[in-house]
Amino acid sequence: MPAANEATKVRWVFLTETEAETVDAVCARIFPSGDGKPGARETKVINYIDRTVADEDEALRRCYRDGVTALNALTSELYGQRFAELSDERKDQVLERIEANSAVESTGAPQGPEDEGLLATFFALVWEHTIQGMFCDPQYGGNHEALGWQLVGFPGAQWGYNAEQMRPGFDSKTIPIKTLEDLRRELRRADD
Amino acid sequence: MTETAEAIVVGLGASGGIIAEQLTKAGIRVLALDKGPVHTTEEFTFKQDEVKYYSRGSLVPQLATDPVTWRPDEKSTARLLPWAAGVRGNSEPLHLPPSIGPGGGTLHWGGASWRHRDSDFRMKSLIEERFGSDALDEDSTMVDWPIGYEDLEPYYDRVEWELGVSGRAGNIKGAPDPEGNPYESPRERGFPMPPLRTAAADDRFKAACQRLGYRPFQQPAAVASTDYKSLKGCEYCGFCHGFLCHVNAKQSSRITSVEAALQTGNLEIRSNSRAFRLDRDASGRRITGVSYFDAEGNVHQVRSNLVVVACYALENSRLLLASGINANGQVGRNFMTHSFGWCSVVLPEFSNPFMAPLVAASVVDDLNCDGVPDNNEGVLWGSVLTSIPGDLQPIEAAHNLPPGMRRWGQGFKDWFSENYRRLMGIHNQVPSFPSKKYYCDLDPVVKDKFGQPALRITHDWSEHDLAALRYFEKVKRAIAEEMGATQFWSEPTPPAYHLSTHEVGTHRMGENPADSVVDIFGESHECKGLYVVGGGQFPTLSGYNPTQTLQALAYLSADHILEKV
Repeated sequence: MPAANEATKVRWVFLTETEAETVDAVCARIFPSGDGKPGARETKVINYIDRTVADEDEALRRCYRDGVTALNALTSELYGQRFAELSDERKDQVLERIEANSAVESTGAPQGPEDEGLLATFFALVWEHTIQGMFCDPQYGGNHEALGWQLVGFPGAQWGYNAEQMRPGFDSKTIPIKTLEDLRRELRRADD
Repeated sequence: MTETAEAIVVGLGASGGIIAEQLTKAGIRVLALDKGPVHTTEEFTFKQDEVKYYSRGSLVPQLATDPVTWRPDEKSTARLLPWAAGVRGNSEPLHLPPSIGPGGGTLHWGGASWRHRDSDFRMKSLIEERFGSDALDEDSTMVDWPIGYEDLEPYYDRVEWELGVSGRAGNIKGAPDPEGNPYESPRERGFPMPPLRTAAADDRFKAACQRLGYRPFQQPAAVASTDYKSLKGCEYCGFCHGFLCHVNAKQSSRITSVEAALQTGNLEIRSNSRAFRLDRDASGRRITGVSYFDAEGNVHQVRSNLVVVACYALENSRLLLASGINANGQVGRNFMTHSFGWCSVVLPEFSNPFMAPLVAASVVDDLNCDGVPDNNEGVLWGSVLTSIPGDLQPIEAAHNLPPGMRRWGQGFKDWFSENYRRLMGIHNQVPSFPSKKYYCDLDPVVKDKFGQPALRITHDWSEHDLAALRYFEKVKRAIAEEMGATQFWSEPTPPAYHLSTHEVGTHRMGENPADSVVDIFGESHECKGLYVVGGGQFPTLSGYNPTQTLQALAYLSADHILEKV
């Protein structure tokens, strides 16, 4: 959990501390850590989301703002805690309920159908942005040190592949990963 | 004072680029209007960017600026394309209208380059001969083409040799070559370039298909396998379909026709210029020019007695309707598209699906067109069936997961990190049939920011579409099993989207001005001097991809225009 210290405070362009904490906790259930392989936390998906949402239109920003509020309202109702404070098991249960679009019905919480739809939309949006933040070019703020690409064996931004590399069974993890910045650097060097 | 141009071309995509090149080479000064931007060299060079091109769909028109609505039937209220609308993150960027800016759809396309078969031009007659005159339902508006394969053969040849297509011929002047497509209609000569190197999983696909008795061959591709004219040999980077090409291996009108036209000195391009009205004389029978908005929304009017509208089947018909050019009520009718049948397999060894273009692939054509076997499932017309061994980046891959699997959590992480490198696709595409029920018109409510009416699509998947999807799903499953796939699944059927970037038919060509919009040269029956070209001219859609045929039609139109001026 990123602590609410000065170092993280200056990092967020758009998100508030609570929003960052909550969204980060959701991302970490989509691509969890703890198995020795990079997840959403190690690839800094939350950085990607913060920067992306900052540049986005009002509808999307509202979806994050209202989604975080609704999610924490729901978990407070159910367990008396914010989403980020729940155990992993409870977090997953909450997300499963949202995905099944049944959170409102089963809790009987005084929320309208808009809230029901809002949480489903919010989770779908965080899912999209988590995938993007895991596998984007690092220039967007996620996929830190290309850890997301490393995880799945994607060599990233390449100029091309040769016949040997294109043979069935070739281990793509033997190809050095490149980012767009690496390509730019190569061209600058070629120009010198 | 009103500006005058010798000729105006609206849209510099696959068709408009070709016509602009032919006219300017003949000495005609052409003003081209394109509503998109000119893409910079920087964008082409550093296109290895899935967020920009896939997630954010930066090449294609967005609904906020280019609204399109859809409804399944006349009883329903049309909404902004529901599969692409809503907060970003729930969109399908490749199920919007195709790329804009000089290059048009050939900026983003995968480069599947097909001639239609002879039978495609006679679909209606062949279906009725084989299955009976009541095989097509009462709402069918299917007709045979007013031209045949032999009429287009020289123009197909020009596409292949002037623009550049790689492949292996299967039938040169009637002499079969088992290495090429055994079902292709006879051609005068082969391709100017040999086939591409195939992506890793293709060998396994091809071998399995051969064991099953099919006759696979390599996909003809508008991607250069060697340096050819303005094209450079492909480097197999894998960022192809949906992306710009950093080596100019992918044939795009931006680098072939448009570049050649610019070199004549006779082409002026105005990008970010949005045509909104086709102007006519008092009788309405003659074109007099085009009115357009510039990037700031200022209105401009250019006079010309030769106007070529080439901005895709959808925008072409929208522009005609918004201009009131629809005396016989046929504009927007006969909307057709492909329903895609995407299947995915997981292979026992690494397939590395991120390498090579989409079209570095093999094709089974045994079940296409009238070659679809006799069946009890109501399938009247077949489909091309293709391996998709390459061009799959991780973000796109995460959007196509086995049904029933939870899309998040440790299980998802394990599955995706284990299997991304073992994926491949098998694809077919079912051509929808023209029907009274499926059409485009102007949305009565939704307008763009300039106050221009949005196009409204009324379309649903038919019984035949569903039957054909089911039929081919079984075929693909059998191939996957023969390949030794450890997993196989299909995208949901029928597809949620109703745009495939293969929309055609909405300004049908025909000899009878009462039941068609343009003649075989693309000239409007109603308004002389106005040419409306592209896939919108097609009387029927083939199981093959439409681009090479609409490119051939563009050469035909250009020849005709030059004979007249």
